[in-house]
Amino acid sequence: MVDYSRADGSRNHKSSFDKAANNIIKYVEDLQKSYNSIWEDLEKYRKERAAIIENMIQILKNLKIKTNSPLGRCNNEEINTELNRIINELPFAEKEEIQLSLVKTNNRYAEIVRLGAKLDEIAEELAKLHIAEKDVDEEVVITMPQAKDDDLKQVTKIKKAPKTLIVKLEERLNSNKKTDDNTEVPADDDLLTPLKEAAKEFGSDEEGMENYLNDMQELLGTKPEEEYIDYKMTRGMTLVELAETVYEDSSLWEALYEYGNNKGVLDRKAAEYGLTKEEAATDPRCLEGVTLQIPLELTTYVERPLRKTA
Amino acid sequence: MYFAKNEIIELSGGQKHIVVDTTQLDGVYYYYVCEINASETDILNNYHIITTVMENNILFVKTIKGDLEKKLEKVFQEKLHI
Repeated sequence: MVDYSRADGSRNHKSSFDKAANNIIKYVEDLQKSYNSIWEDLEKYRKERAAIIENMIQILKNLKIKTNSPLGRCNNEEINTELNRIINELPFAEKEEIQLSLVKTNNRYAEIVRLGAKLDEIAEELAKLHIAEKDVDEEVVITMPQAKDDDLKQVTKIKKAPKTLIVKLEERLNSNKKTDDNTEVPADDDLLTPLKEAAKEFGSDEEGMENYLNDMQELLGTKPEEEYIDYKMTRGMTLVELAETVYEDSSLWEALYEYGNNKGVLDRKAAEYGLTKEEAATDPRCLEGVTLQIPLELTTYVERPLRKTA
Repeated sequence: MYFAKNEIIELSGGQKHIVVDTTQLDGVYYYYVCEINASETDILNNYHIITTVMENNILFVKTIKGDLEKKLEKVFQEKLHI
């Protein structure tokens, strides 16, 4: 037992502790340096090998030669098997290049394996330093090679998407496509397709179809832009009275009833009091406390029968 | 390149993604993917940019975040005109 009351005892103990601690720190730092240096070498070989494989994939792609498994997903043994299987099908120049690439790939793979083994040794050395965590009964041993990033998710399956899904994806992407003025506008053809189809039903001759389309486009083109204000109703007013007050035309109550969100709101109120649409229009209870959309210009659309051309 | 356009990637959590497009930056492949439903019938409006990580011969995907995500988003938007 050290006598800490004595200066030399206390100082010698501290000196001994510092020396031991520094030795351990230096040992860990040296391990880390060695690890990083080897890892960088390994990464260099790994990247070079990946680039060579990528180049071989491109050569095979250009020749339209398919491997049983995609090379990018094969391990080194599988790459050798795949390439040796097809190598005799290749033209001379490409065959030479693939053979050379295969040698380069295997050389780099051998280096990767050699350096990987060194990294494992270093990791094992580090794992020998047991670190007991506070508040944890069991000792925790560093197991570096198993460390995983939380963001990583394992790929369990890769397969070709069904055609229907690809079509849906393309439709979704097309709907997101930018036009020149950065507004999303469907193509004219898309707008006209349903009209053309309807026109076909009513007229087979070109003139009849054109008249029909002109009428429809005119109708669409002249449709007013609707603007409204939200207005919270006070007590005692009916929808008929509201139409008379705002538009000076009580007959517009139905158009107001049908406008925008009003229909949903008023239908619910009518159902609440067990009233028909007409009864609801003259019952002040139906407007109590509801917020209606009051259009600045209320337009009624009269149903037009479709003309059948000869 | 591990994934090709229009391939479905199934992950350990059960999520499925379809590869919308791919690109390469500084020797690394990146994939623009969109989540799909479990029955592979519908596109969910959930897009990500991912890359691959191979560990012990097991293939993982990692979602790209931060500045790189913004940079790659622009690349894909220009490629796909979206």
